[in-house]
Amino acid sequence: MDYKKPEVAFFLPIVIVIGLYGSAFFVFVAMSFYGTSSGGQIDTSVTGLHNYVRFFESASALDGLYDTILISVLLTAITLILSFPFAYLLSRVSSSLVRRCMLGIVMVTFLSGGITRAYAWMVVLGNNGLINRLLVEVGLDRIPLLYNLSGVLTALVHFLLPFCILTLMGAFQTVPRSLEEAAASLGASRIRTFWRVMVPLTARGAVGAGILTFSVAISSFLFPLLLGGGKVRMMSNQVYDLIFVNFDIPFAAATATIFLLVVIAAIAALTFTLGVIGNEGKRGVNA
Amino acid sequence: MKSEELRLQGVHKSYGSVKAVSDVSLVVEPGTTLTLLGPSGCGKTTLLRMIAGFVYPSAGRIFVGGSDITDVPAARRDVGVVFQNYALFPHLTIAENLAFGLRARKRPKEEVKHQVQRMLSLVKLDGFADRYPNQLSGGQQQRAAVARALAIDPRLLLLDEPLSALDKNLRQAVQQELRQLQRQLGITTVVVTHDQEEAFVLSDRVAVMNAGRVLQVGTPQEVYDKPSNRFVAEFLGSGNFLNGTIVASSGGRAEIEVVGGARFQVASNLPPGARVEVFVRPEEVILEPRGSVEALGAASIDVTLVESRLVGGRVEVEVECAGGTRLLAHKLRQGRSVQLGMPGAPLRASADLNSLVVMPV
Repeated sequence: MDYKKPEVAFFLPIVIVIGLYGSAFFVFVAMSFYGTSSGGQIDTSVTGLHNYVRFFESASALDGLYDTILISVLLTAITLILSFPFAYLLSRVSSSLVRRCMLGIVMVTFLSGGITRAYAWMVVLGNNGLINRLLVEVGLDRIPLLYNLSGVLTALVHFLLPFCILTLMGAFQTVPRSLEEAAASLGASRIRTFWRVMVPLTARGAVGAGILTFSVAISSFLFPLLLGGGKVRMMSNQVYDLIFVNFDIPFAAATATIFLLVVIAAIAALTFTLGVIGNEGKRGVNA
Repeated sequence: MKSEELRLQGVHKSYGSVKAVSDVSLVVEPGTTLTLLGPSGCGKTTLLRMIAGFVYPSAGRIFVGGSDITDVPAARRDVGVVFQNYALFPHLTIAENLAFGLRARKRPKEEVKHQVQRMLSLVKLDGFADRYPNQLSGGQQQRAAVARALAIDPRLLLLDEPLSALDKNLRQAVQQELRQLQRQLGITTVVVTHDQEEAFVLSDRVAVMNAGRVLQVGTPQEVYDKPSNRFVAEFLGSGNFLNGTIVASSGGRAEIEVVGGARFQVASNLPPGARVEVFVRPEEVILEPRGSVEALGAASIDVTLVESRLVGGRVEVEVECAGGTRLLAHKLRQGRSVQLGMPGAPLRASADLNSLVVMPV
């Protein structure tokens, strides 16, 4: 080892890891330029953009992309709105017991497995589930809550909340409590203080939480698969079907690549917003 | 500006079994400044926060201008608070910070603008309206925080450790400014500080606190010269304590015998036989060669020199008296330096009888 250049040794493991992941990725992107034979074999004699052309000519593929983005935006919005008050409370509650209980709820959600939770939601939302039985008990009609968009949204919001809450909590914690007290002493109501002080000072954190939530939401696979009843198909589900049902790996690769580019573009746009707010917020850092 | 009386009546605050503030009753006369002075954790900040409305007292009532505000939420108390770290809103300009309270009160735009202008010039920040807080120096931020608190024309002004975040050179200037501003406006003010000098410069009266209680309230001179107990005496500066016993007493006068056998008469109602501590400030102690003419109305004891140290503008002299008790004397350096001799030199320490404070043990 070159004694004077420890950096090389230091970075080597990282380079290997990135190289390994990167190459897997590269293989997949490369695949998207090949053709497919009728038997599902990859036809390396055909190369070109035909898979991409096919994607943009296919109404169902484009619809899938639209729906995925729409659902993800919807999920992000709902999750953010629900997380905001919860995270605020979590960062401000004075009793450590209450705080631990609240954090406990978040962490249980965070750490419990997807399949378990999907099953739990089936029990709650199903046609003979808890909610519908209750509705029947009180003499109302059953509402289809499962195997449709509402079921997927319910489960996914639940899944996304911890990501969003924990990120937002960090943002709230950086706002000194004395700012709220100052606002109160100046005559501002709690609502006014929240909107005029807390929201502007945590906007940066909220965009950050939004980016994270959106990234996790858009790659949802399990809940749409198990709770969507085949009606809610997000991009990951489509790619899965293309590989394991249609055996059309090159087209699946092209679909995945397009999907990835769209996600990157969306996140880049959000990050740009973050940068703009960041410059505003920089004034804010006066410890 | 308003000048209203603040009255605390039997105020308590406990957190579980911890008593942060116990049984505090105080009156702050209209237009005067009271300082809550004490070490950290003495309950002074909790007391201030109760006056501001951020903390609800476990017992007791708080009155401003005769009306009970104990159950009035902070947002409707009309109390201006200057926070230790100023708590200026970092996302708002100085003008917007100053306007915050007025906007919350839904004042007309013209009035808000006018009042902000007035406050900016009051604290000499005229050109800084459009700056953000972090573009201001510490002293300017402090002035902005004061202006923001005053902009709502509050019934009281509360300052929490107003100078602690400033560097030492700035402190004295800001102390003077604050004092002047308070006098000029005549607003009833409560200051929290752990700094004795700050308390003395800023306030008309000082309440010395420890362990949740107010130990003594008085003018700076009263609490410094006539501390009511050992804690107050020691917190406000260095002091000497001599153990003694009352040997005779009648008609408000008592004769005390201190260690070493010296006797003198002081004003005290304590009965004969009572054990006491006699307190005297080091700057009141006069050191002379033994045998020199004794001043009238002074108490004196024989001592030997232990050490003398030059501390800036004064000399600190440590002497030992017969019982082994050490005394500290401060002498100002005037002209030629003080010649006391070598360590071990016999001296006589004396102090005016009026400067002695007798405390029961």
